[in-house]
Amino acid sequence: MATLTTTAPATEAPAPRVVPKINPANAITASRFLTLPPFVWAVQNGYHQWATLFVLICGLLDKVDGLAAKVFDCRSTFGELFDAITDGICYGFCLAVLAYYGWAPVFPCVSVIVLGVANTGMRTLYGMRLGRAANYKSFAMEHIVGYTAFLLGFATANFEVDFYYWLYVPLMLGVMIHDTKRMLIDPVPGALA
Amino acid sequence: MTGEELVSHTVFVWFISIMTAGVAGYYFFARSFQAVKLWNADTPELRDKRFGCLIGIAIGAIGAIGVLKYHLS
Repeated sequence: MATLTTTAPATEAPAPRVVPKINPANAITASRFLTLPPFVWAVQNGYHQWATLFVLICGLLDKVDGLAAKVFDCRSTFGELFDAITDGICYGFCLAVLAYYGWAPVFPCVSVIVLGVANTGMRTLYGMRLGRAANYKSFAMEHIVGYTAFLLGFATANFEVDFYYWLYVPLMLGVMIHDTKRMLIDPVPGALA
Repeated sequence: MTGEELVSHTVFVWFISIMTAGVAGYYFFARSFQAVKLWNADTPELRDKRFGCLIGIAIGAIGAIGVLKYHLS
């Protein structure tokens, strides 16, 4: 093993690995959009179980894309951002549809969408502070995103909808305040000068 | 059960209940252990993780209470 390291040229830095944007993980992420038209069809026609199924598929694909990125070794900043944006679009769209058709209370849905958009804005500002494209990793927000996927399922299944929706809002607000402080006020590690 | 339904209402409700309770239980217990481990965290990253754990515990509790509320009411 030692001979391998000594034969490598000392002055040459390893070239940064370029991950193509079109890769299995991003393809799976993009395929989540395909669940949206059948979801709208199911809600429009009052098919609760079908709507739940499409929410479930969308949520499962969210888990599978991370797994695919590991298996095919195609993790990238673009992939992380694309995944986060896809989460926002898919879940925001589904919440809007559910609120429009009266399957979920309007105020919590609008609050979630507004807070989600605000969070995206904060992340953009964080990237600007950092001086490069980056996905702010928030363990708390990961939990909230998981809760959002379940929120959709609770509305399509008509399962304690008011209870879950109204408790979600203060929780997300708390996480937003915490993450806003971390992204916009606290010192940024590794920021470009 | 009609053509518009995939399974009977009972099966559907229990599927949702078990899935929610399973994930909520996992969140609650796994994040509780993690939060205890991180209780004396002294770096911003670890404190973030601890805050995330507390949110996970809250979500787990809400999930479990919702399932109980549905079946007991």
